[in-house]
Amino acid sequence: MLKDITIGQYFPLNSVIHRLDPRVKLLYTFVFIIMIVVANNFVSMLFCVICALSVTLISKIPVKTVVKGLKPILFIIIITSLLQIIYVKTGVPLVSFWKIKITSGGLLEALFMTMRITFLIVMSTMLTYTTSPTSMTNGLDRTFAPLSRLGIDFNIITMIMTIALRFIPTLIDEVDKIISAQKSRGANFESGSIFKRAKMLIPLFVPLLFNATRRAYELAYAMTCRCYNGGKGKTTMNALKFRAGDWTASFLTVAFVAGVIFLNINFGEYNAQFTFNTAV
Amino acid sequence: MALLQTENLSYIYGEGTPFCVTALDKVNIEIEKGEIVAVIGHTGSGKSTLMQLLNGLLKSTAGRVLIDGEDIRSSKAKTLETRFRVGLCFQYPEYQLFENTVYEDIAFGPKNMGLSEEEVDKRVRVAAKYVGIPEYAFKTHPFDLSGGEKRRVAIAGVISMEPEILILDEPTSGLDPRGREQILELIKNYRDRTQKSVVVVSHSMNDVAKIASRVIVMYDSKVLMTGSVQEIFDQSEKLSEIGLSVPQITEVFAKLHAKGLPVSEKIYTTEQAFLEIKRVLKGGGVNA
Amino acid sequence: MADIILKFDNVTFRYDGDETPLPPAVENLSLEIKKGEFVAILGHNGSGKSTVAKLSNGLVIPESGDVYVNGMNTKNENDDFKIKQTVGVVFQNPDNQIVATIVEEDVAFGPENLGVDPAEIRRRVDEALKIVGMYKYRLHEPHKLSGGQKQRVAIAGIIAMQPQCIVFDEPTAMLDPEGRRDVMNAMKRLNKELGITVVFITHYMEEACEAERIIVMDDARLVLDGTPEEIFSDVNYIRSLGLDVPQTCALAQMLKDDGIEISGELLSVDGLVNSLAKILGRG
Repeated sequence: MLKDITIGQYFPLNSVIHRLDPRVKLLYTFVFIIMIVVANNFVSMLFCVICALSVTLISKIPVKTVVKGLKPILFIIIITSLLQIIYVKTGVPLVSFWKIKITSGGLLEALFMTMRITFLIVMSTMLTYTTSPTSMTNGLDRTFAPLSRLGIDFNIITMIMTIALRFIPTLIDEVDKIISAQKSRGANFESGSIFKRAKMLIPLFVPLLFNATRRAYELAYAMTCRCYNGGKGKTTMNALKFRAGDWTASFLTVAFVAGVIFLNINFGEYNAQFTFNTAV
Repeated sequence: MALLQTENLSYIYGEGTPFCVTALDKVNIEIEKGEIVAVIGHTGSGKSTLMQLLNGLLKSTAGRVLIDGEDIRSSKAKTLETRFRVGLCFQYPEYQLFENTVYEDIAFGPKNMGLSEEEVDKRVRVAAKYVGIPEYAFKTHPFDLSGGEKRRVAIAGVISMEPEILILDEPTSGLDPRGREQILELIKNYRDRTQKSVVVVSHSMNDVAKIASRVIVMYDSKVLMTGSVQEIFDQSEKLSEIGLSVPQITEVFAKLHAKGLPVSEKIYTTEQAFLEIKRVLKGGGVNA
Repeated sequence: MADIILKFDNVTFRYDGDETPLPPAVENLSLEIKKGEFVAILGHNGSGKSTVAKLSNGLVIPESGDVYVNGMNTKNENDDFKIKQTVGVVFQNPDNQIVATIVEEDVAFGPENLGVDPAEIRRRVDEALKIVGMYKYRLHEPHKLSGGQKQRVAIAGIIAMQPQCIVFDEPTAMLDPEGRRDVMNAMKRLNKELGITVVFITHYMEEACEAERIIVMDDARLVLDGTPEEIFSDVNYIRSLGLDVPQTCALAQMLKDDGIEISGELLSVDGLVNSLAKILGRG
């Protein structure tokens, strides 16, 4: 059951998007998120949606997977939409019962917010789906490299992050196995008072910690064998280089920003009545 | 009626997702009282899934597990009871040992059963004896033991619940020959003295041939064949076909037989081989 | 002298105990491994064989005596990187050797630490993965691989450092038969095709038999050193060390004890078949 978590997972494929410099992806995802918040009418929003869908298609990530990644935020979308429908009173009244009045403005506003949240998430997951954790750490590493001047050793931090990412699935798997073994000896993890359940964490955590410590020692030996010395004089196989694809992506991002601003200015007036009320 | 029995038992991992895998497909097996049954198969054959279904850790996708003719899923209490009646000991003791002393660790199961302190104490001592852990080692920290000793303490931790069926998943893997012998011997002694059933899961026939009274061979989520050790080894070609190892000596005699020499090709142990050669040297004919 | 890659000269080593000193894990061990050899070190658990792996590239330093890698003493810290690059070690648990979250990035870890040029790293990584048969998994996540596959990735990670010798510390102990076979084959290829010296520590007799030379350890000491035929000719002694004997040798010994004369090659299946055919043909 623990293995079913998919958010933030990397989806190894070989697409143009996958091959982009992680710094480029980090930055441009950030830019997209800003623009989708800035977009103030349906035309700009539609433009954002089309761009996000194009990126999704180019990335070759199955649409099904992307949709599945949205499941956890379904709840947030529903709540936000309901709030919009209830509180926005602009436009033509449609239905009215008890104290609630539903208006065309409310419905449109709900739709607008749904689009905004959905594609905000789609683009963020696109970043993690197309960027391996290691490459992401690399990207962060380079982006924040100037920090080393402040006396922060980013090489060590990157290594810690990579090892954490590497061993999380292993540890999750191990937790499953320990739970099975202790359940077989009658341990009850599911019921009982809080005190009893807290006590049941001992048979779970003691083996987990013991094994993790042993792993750490063995890993240290293995890393020493591979000449790890804290990252001094280290090179990188997948060195981050600004390539043609990255230039194209930069150009397209600038065009995208210009597009959203242009559409905002040109069509903003007509839909102001329901788009300027979005500050919930 | 068998003590433990499965009816068309099936299990699918991740059912309803695009990644679903059939781990077990309509399996029917029976475990009788007092048998040592070896379940043989390689990784992914479904044997580990089967074991976790037998003691109710996993819930089957279809089919039932019956203990004394009763469905282990008939009530919540029944499922919990089954966990104690069908004792499952996993491959790596590192996933189960956690107490500060060997004694406490062996006592964990019986305590969870809600037994009296005296009864728990009695059971710990009896279980430790079966696996050859001396009483002076009771105060040792389980993590300070050698690999083979850890495994024996882990087995004692399940034996102490006095299950009617003891299931051991790969009990000898990774152990050196001496450690392996000790485990196999203790399994046999345990069965002989308690007359309870034991199920041993393994990758290799050779490991368990010495002690098993019956063998179940699993392949591709199904039971491929079942029979006595002799009957299964008689199908050695089928075994090699599915990638399971056949004793070296069986290969030798198959080749001698193929060369037209008057020896039987059904030889599995060096003792059998020795007697067969002596028989032929004395001038005997082919003994099918 | 020049053709000796690894030399143990009267080496003794013990681990730190909490209070009381522990008995030596390796005692007065002298041993020479020639370039290009395929040597198995056989012994039961606790015989000291795994410590040999850690001593062989300076992960631990002898208490007395010296270990030389290509003539470099492992006590000399200045040669540390050179020594670790010359002799790589692959350990038992494949999970605890893989550092990165993508197969190819893990294989690149060693050369990256050595400061190798990126293009050259790419070449070495691809080559190393091809040798162990894991090239098509290069973009996979290690935790989704089987034990045998992970172990082959770990081996590739060492190969990418272009060592002259690899010490394998029970690389098959945690694997299923299929994984064991794959790892055995990978080791043989390294030795045959790349000429890498292989020292293979195991307690599986069948696997040790595939080496050209077997060193048997018992109680922290070297007790036997010879070809598989020589080692297993003394069936009773090997058994007294808590080790297995191939069924072929065991049968030959039983026949000899019974006064039946049997000669020729007795270790391999085909060898024994020929030898038996001779005496049975006579009978």
